[in-house]
Amino acid sequence: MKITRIIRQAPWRTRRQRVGAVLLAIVGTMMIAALYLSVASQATLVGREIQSLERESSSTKEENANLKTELARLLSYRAVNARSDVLGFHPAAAEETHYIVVPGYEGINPVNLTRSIPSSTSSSLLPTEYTQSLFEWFDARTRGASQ
Amino acid sequence: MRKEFAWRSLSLASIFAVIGILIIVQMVRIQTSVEAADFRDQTNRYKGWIENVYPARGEIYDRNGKLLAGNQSVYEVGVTLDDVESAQSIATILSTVLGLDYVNILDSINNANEEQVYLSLSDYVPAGEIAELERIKNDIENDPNAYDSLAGLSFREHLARSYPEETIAANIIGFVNRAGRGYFGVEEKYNDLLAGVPVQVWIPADPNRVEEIPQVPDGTTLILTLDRELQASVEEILDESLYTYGAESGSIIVMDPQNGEILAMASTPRLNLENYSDYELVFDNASEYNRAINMPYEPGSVMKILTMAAALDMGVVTPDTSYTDTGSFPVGGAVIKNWDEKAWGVQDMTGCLRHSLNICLARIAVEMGPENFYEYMSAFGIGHPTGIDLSGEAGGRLKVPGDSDWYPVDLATNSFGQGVTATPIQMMMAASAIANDGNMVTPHILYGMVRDSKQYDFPPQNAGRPISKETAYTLSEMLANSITGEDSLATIPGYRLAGKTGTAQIPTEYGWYSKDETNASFIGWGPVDDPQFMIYVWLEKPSVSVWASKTAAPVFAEVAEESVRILNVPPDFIRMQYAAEQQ
Repeated sequence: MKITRIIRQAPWRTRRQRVGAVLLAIVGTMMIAALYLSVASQATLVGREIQSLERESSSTKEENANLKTELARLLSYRAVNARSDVLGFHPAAAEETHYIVVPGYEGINPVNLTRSIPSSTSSSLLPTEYTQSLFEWFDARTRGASQ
Repeated sequence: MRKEFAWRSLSLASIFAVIGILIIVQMVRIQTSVEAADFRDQTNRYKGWIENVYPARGEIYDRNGKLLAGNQSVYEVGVTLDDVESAQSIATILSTVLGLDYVNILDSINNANEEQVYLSLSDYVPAGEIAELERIKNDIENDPNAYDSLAGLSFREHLARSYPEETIAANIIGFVNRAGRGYFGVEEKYNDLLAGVPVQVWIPADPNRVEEIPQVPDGTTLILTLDRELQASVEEILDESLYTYGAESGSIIVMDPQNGEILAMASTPRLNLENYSDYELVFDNASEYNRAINMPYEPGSVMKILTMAAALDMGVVTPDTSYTDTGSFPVGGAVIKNWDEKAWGVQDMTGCLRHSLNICLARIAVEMGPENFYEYMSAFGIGHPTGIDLSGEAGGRLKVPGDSDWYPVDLATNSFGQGVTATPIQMMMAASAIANDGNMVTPHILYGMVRDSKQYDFPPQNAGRPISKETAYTLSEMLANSITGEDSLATIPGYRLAGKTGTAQIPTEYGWYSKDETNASFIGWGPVDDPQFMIYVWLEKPSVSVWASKTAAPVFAEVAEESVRILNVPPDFIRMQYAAEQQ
């Protein structure tokens, strides 16, 4: 005599498993989406900041050029001569000139303009987090962790 | 019970499915519709825009870091046509503040092309006038009862060339027009370096693509060999001397004979570079822009130092060689005479230079022979441009045997600087060999350049060695003795200088030389034992005296005095004393 027993899972158990799987997928997707959104929004914010800084840099450059020219006008030969005349100065004549030996003094050398120019920044200084995709970021993290 | 309500779920699902399908159908329809191209265009319009980026033009400094040419903000005034509410108000305000034509502005705004979005009305407007326009615009916007409206009026800032020293060194710097192209001088010669490379850039609106915007480097900054103080002083001396000696125009160059650095180069007339549009009012032709390099002339007796240098170098004469000056010397069917048409009796070579005797130099040239003479002149660079780094340099003319217009008498006249043309800068380069131990230096104006935060300084360039060190020394001594041995006006107390005057007759358009008009020149350098400066003076047609010894020589002394003061060259006895203490 062959006895066959059929065991059926309770319907509520099956439904719960399905709902659980769907929920798990939804939660997983949401986590990835949230992470991607977070990185993308940070990158966008930094991008906006860069755009704003570039505008500021361009405006500062123009202001700098204006100030340099203004300063040059104030220190121009004629302006300085006019001010020195008002103050009672005059160019030294040969008989008014005295020469003294100053140890270590090598005379006036032509200007070196690079002493006052700071090195320029470039966009390559941006952290990689702001330039790589989520997958590249994840790949870099996993590589870092494995090393 | 459950089956009774199943239809509700089915109905809801069906409705959502239909909505979904409708959305998809609509999407496909829009994508394939006639308007799809317009939509794509609109999308692309907001993706970004193309912009022409013009790098800021490189600045120009003197050797001490004084700004000679910089940049300054100016504004383009325009209207965004869709935003304009009252073209009449805009035209009225712009005509009042900027002096523009009311009718033209009104006409331009009202008759603008339908597709046109923006209309430029004026450019290169200075900041002061823009501030005034902005003030008026704000007043109108803040006044609720204002009848006028300047809506749509906008100002766009950009950089334009500015010359804070105005006329100083104008002949060397040149200028830049509104199209950004350099004319004359350094601005033209180094236009490509100064201007940088303009690029067309796609500017994405998406901040994530900000890195795609390329960095456009500014133009290269140039440092000139000029000393602004000396340049300004030399220009003042030149202007005064034109007045004092009644000369038509003139030119003065100060150069370091040891390395060819041009320390000052003045020429008349001069343009105020801030108003470069006056160019045509100031100059009759382009060669007048910088006479020192653009205008060859017959230099006269200053050329005698080259003839004497060649003769000494060849061994044809020594300082003690003497001859009897009879007052005339026949050559090639013509008779050469001295400047005073007199006979000077027995003279040695120092006397020959001191009294600037034409017959002496003509005899020497004939003795050298045309082949040797012209070979030396060519080695001195006569007849060739020097290669100075300024635009428009002229080469002068040295006729040589074999040329259709060369005659045997030219050998004699060329020996004392007639029948041959050269620019002042050519004469400087040639004479640098005498002041610099036989080594000729290429004159140059560029000291260095700054690019990518690095300064590159340029080494001096040797232009050949036409004479030996011994010849250079001997001739320097002869020239120093020749100007100290007489009542020369070309000396300054405390310094031993070498030099030579040159009074040249001017050829007329009819082919003969003018009796009343001369070119007065002087070339000299000092201190003789360690030359720090070489000065060339050229006064064109002085009316007070035709002789260079009375006009160009005192100007040379004045420039020399300024040069030693500004370049900090102590008097000879102090240098000697200091050198003795060091030993």
